[in-house]
Amino acid sequence: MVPTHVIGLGSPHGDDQFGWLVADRLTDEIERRQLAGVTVRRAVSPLDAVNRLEGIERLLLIDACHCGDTPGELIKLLWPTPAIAQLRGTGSHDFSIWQALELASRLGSLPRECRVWCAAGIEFGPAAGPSRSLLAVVPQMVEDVLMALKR
Amino acid sequence: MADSSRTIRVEALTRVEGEGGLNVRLDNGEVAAVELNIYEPPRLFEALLRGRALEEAPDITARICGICPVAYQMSAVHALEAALGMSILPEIRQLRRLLYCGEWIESHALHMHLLHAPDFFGCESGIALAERFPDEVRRGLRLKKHGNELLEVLGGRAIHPINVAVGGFYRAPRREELNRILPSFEWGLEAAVSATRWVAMFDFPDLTREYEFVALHHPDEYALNVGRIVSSRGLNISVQDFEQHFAERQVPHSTALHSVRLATNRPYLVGPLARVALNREQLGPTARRLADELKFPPGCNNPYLSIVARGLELVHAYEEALTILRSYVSPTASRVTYAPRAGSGCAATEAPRGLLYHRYEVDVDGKLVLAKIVPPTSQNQWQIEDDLLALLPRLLHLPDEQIAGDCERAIRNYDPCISCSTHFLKLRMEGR
Repeated sequence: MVPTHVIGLGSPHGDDQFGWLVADRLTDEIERRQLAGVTVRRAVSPLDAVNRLEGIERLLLIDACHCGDTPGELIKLLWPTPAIAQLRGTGSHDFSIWQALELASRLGSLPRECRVWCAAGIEFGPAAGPSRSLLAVVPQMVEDVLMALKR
Repeated sequence: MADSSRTIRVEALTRVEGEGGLNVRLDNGEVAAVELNIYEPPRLFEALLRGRALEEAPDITARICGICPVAYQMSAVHALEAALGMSILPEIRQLRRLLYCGEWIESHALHMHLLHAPDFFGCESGIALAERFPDEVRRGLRLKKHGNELLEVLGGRAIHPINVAVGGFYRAPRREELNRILPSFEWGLEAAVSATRWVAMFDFPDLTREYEFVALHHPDEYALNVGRIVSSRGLNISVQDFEQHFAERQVPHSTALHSVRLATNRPYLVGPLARVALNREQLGPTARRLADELKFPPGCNNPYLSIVARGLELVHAYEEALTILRSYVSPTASRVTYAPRAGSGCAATEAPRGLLYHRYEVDVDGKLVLAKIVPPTSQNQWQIEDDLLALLPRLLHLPDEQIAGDCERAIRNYDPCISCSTHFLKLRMEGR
């Protein structure tokens, strides 16, 4: 398998937990299936996600987003599609996913294949739990990632 | 019939970090007014805290800022411990310094490399700078990451840490957890020195100002959490006297309050430039030697050189973090226990952007009766406007777009918490 990083972006707040939930499930599945060459981790910001990419040929970022028409809709984007630029950053000091990937690209550290897979969230409030719509699509996203890793 | 008329007055306007603009008014070709306009709604944290359990203050105030939550936590716990009449263990004091070093590293590395350095090369962003200086930007990202890692280990998570408690920490780190990050910090110290040498070679605009620098000062250490408040014009007071010498005022054009030095009715400056000017002798040996090697001017009053001051503090933070990491012994208890009692207390600590003052009153049940928070950005806000007043006459012959760019650049010298928004500054020129 090509060296791959799967990074779940998130925070403890509402649907923003989605990336972490997927990353945690994937970690278990990858261990169970003994898949080599895949690293899964959580990250809190896009800049954090693109910080350690040396030797990686494939990057998959999982996140929740304010996008899509239906809560729980899965949106799969391949870098550098301009739609990635529409995903908002989370704070005034933070880099958006687009900016972070663009930075990695300029630094020559972006893997040759880079995908951003998101679930449309609805509730991002502090201390809120993830919405049912998002929780329902965690298994689907995990399966989709595992399928993609076989390629 | 009862009188149904009612007046609702919100008296505790509080701070914002977020989006800002700048209005400049010219009369007959002269600069008549400069207004840094912070237009986000007040967030009213001080009112929000009233009636809450005192234990909630560190985590609630941390929410004021995503880039310097530790500073809010530190000022909160020190002020509350003063209100409760508590003393903390020496090991806890060291751990708090270590946590603060993590925040300084993260914040300073980010600002130096991705927010401020692009200004010196005409780059519109850190992304554009990365094309010209990939190795330097890569190094900056690694340094920032170290700060995040330290926050994760000590604070439980990298953004808005959750491990800081009144009396200490909810959980003290294990020796092996700190051992894991030690090699990164050994590399980081050298890298921080290189980064500071790099920024010191930038071409700095010639602008000198007559600042009153204000910072915490401690004779035996580079003041982070404790010390007296001193200034370059001879002020030397205990933190308890802060409100006798400094006040906040509402101005019509900003939802953030302006701080003023009461004795002079003038602005003052807090942050790295002030700290290095007032505490150079307390910098760690590597940072102090570097300041001498770079011929960093004593009492440097060119605001553009704040990037070098920030670099010296980055080096200091690594040096101090390494000392604590190497000598760490798990404390006998992660925190000191206490019984609630009525009281009031205040504290000031040094956030990456400057002095951060908190004062609380607590009732007999441990509920907060009053909270007052004076963040560094509001303390610097008037000084920023004053810098712009000095700068603008040199720029008036330039097109509006270029004036806006140069003003944004001057604002970024301060790394205000509205710095990202000032990247998108809307400049309105009146009366040209």
